[in-house]
Amino acid sequence: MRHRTEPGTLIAGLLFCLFGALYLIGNAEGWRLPWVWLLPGLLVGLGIAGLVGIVARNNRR
Amino acid sequence: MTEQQTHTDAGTRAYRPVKRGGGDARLVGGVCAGLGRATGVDPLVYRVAVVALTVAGGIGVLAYAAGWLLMPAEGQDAGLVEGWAGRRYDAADVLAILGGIVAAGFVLSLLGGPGSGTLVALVVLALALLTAQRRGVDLGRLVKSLPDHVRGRPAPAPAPPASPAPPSPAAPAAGAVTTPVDPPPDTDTPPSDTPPSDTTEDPVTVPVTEPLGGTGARPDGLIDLGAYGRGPRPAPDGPVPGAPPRPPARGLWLGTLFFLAACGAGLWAMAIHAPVYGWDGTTTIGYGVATALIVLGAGLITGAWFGRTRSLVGWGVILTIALAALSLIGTGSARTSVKEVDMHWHPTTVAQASRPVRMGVGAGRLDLTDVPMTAGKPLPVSAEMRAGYFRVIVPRDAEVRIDGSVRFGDIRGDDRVYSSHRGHVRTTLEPLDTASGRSPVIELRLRGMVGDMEVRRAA
Repeated sequence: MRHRTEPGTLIAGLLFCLFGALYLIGNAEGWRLPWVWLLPGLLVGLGIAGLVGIVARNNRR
Repeated sequence: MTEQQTHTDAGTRAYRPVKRGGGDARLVGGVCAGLGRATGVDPLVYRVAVVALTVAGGIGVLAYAAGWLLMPAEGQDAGLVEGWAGRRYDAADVLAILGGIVAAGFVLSLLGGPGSGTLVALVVLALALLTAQRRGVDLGRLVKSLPDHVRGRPAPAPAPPASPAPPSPAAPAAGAVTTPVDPPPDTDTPPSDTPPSDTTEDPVTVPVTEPLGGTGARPDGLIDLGAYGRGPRPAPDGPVPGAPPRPPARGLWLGTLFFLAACGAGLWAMAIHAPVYGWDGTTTIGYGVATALIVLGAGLITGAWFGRTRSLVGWGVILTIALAALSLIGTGSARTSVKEVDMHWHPTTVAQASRPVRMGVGAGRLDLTDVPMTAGKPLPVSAEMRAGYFRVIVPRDAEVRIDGSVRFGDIRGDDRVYSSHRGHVRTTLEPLDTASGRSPVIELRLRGMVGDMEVRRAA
């Protein structure tokens, strides 16, 4: 069976890659990741990912 | 028909949707009225909690909005989220999710230091948990089953058009969704004695529990809080009566593969930096966590097209929280800007410098460059911190005898790293400038819980 694209999973993956990359770049460049915004960013990002996933699933039906 | 429709899977816990209140009970969206009616608690209690949480940090608005999205209005079969997601959330699910939101708000309010929002969220959460526990809710099981509550359960398949089918001896089909016209108000829907005919699994049953408050019959429409979190919950992804069988999960190996790859990549990154910072230094751990997070993200991106890797999201969340914590406590070289210093001590006398400096959470700096020191007479200085980053600025011509200990973190001196996680660091930093002859001596006592402490020479 063909696997359907999951945009919610895609967004979550991009979000995690972004966080990890920002941390590494920040360490290399001498600045630090703004931890105050990290968790709200995570919640907002996962919320968007969930919504996109729901909408996409709904559209497929 | 009663307001609380009862969909009953044979042998499983009754599904009792909670609906937003209407009519006179409704003030704004009817969420509090609906919750009050479902739990037997005066809606005013919920309204007070929502207002208090809103004023004290805004989480009340979020919780109310979540309830409004989850709960169907009167006359509707499904709420907005239920319609979008194709899931069903009963009263227990809604209460668990709202409790989780308040708990998350409490945790988030701790970031940046506890405040009034923390206190209000803590009080509301504590009262809710105490009330639930007094009513027999198994809080431990409730916490464990929170992911199940968030997932809800699959929506029942739409009923086929009515046709005069001949009566079957097997009817009503076991596991079928039934909607009693008027269920008895004082009893739980009893589990069917007939096991599902299309499954070999043992039916999951929830014992019929005592009514609310333990006094007689439970009023119509109230959920059974006693059974809430006590009994085993039917698998949310289990077979839905009337729905086509779900295809077996595919691509699970991909999630496992990327999980293992993330572990390997994280360890590899730590191994690279361990010789410099030590295996348990915050910098080393930070590199490992960030690398593992990137690999997990790559796994999710890959899984968006080629497999099922959604299970990695939970690990990604955990690693992101760890990354935030590591960013909070600082990673040495990343903290070079004076603007990032939250607390600053600048003693100008020996007496001031001899007072112990204590810092809670944050970034601090103790500047000893303007303390008049006498050569040959040691100056005792003590600095303690709970979590964060602490820097001590010392004169270039001073000899610094360090007695340091940081439980989770590093001690740095003159650009060298001394890991002190398993014991004290006792070292002496020789003066850089000895032109003036005998050097003053600073006996520096450093104590920390989490983070890095650094001794740096004045410019």
